[in-house]
Amino acid sequence: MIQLENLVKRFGPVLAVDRLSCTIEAGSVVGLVGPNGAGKTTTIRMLTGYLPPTAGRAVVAGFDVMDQSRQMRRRIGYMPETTPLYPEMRVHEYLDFRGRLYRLPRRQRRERMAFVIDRCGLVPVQRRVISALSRGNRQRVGLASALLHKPQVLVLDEPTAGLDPNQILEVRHLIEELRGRQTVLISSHILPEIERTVDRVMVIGHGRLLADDTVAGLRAKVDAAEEVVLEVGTEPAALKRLLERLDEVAGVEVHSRDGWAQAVVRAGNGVDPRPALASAIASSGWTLREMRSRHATLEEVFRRITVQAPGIGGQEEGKGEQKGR
Amino acid sequence: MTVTLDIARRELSSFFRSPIAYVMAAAFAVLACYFFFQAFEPGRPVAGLWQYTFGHLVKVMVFLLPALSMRLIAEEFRSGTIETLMTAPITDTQVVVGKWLGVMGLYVVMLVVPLAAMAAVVFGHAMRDPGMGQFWAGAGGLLLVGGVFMAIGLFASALTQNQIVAWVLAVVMLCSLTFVTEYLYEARWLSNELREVIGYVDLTQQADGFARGLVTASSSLYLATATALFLFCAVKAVESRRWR
Repeated sequence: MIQLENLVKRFGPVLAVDRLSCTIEAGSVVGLVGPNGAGKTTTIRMLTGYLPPTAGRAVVAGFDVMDQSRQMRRRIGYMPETTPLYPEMRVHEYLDFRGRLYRLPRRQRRERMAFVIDRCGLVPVQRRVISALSRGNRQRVGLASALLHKPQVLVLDEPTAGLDPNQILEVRHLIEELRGRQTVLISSHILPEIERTVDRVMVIGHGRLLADDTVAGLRAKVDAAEEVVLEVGTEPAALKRLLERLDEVAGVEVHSRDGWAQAVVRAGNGVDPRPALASAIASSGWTLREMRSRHATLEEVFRRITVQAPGIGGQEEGKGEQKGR
Repeated sequence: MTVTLDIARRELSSFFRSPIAYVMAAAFAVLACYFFFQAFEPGRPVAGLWQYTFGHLVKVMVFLLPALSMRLIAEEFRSGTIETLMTAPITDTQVVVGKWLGVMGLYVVMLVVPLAAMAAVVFGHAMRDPGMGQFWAGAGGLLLVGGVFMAIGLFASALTQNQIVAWVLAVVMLCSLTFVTEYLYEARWLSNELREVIGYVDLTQQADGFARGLVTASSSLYLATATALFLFCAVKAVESRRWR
């Protein structure tokens, strides 16, 4: 349904999107995830026909976004970041105007308006002026207008930004209802907010596709990244020497913490290292104050992926990481 | 065409929901009547009346009309609504022409009120020669010249996302087609041929010709072409800002 081939976008000297290729099948719900400035919005703007790509090709719903732009635009529903709307219009007037832009005949326009107003929970505010609406309601208006013309592809840029947890849940339910009927592409810089909604996650950073996997696949990477935290009554250096000798340990970091040595141990190849750690410490005669395992969250995996991208300066990494949280 | 009209309608109705339309219409009406009553003398023939009134109005329009056109596209870029507009299956030309028609609709409303009042005053005094031919020609001239003004304003609005900058740009462009050309037309150091060309380009002289009752094909064609040219420039400006 969406096909990107070596998509490149350059703004002067800045390479915003770098040879991005992917295929999204009809009916799937895909998340486009990456820190701010990763190129998510630029990618979305190219595949909605707003920005022309510098190089490469994008095909949406079977139409080239540049050569068959108008046919393509008829089949795509797009809600840009920050949901721009005309503040002086009333909700139903705005939706009517959008319907006219898509040339929906009067009857169909009425039907579709009633449908999206109902579906997006806008019934109580449909006669209100948009400038008087809350952030959450504006988001719903944006979503309603993106759904109005029954698009085959729905593209939502940061649909959950600035919403409270309940509203995020509502957006999730709405997208859940579209599953299977429409192809949905959602971007977000906060992975957990969309992780339950999407079938597949594409992680991009600095304009490049860093990972393209199912949520389960990403989870497997998460599980592989399990860590064990130990606190032992000894010198940090001695503890480090002991732990590094064990086969079950793939990596270890040791710090001193109020007189105790604290070690964070990464296990190798999916083996549970805890029994080995316990017996090694017991046999050396040290006191064990704490041992707990720590599951890396999807968020941490995401951060690891986006921060490890090759050829990136250290300072920028820090920035991306901070914003990505 | 229907989409263009839909855009025009939305634009026009949004004008009437902001104070700017009312403030501008009131200012325009007050100034128009002020010029009118400066020249108007009951019982006298109306020979120079419309020329004087409309001539002064055009000069005021140089500053007033850009205040109406300045937000048309600048605001779309500032608020980001341009993105939802341009990803709908419509063309840049439809957007630009629709917006121009919308603001022209407002301009016509602004013109109708004071002009109707003036005509009523002239008729009320039951003058022997009310000069209605010149009145209608002059009103048509104001409409055509206003079309050029709005097209220039729209072009300026497409160049920036700051409304004030758009207003200043439009005023500068309009001044060069009115006050500057008027000055150059009088300049003795220019050759007569050049001055003739400048006089033709001068929008105040064009409006003046209409107010004298001279409706010529060359004038109408010039104004229509200028409007089309600036609308074309506005389309290109919108395009290039997206493509950058």
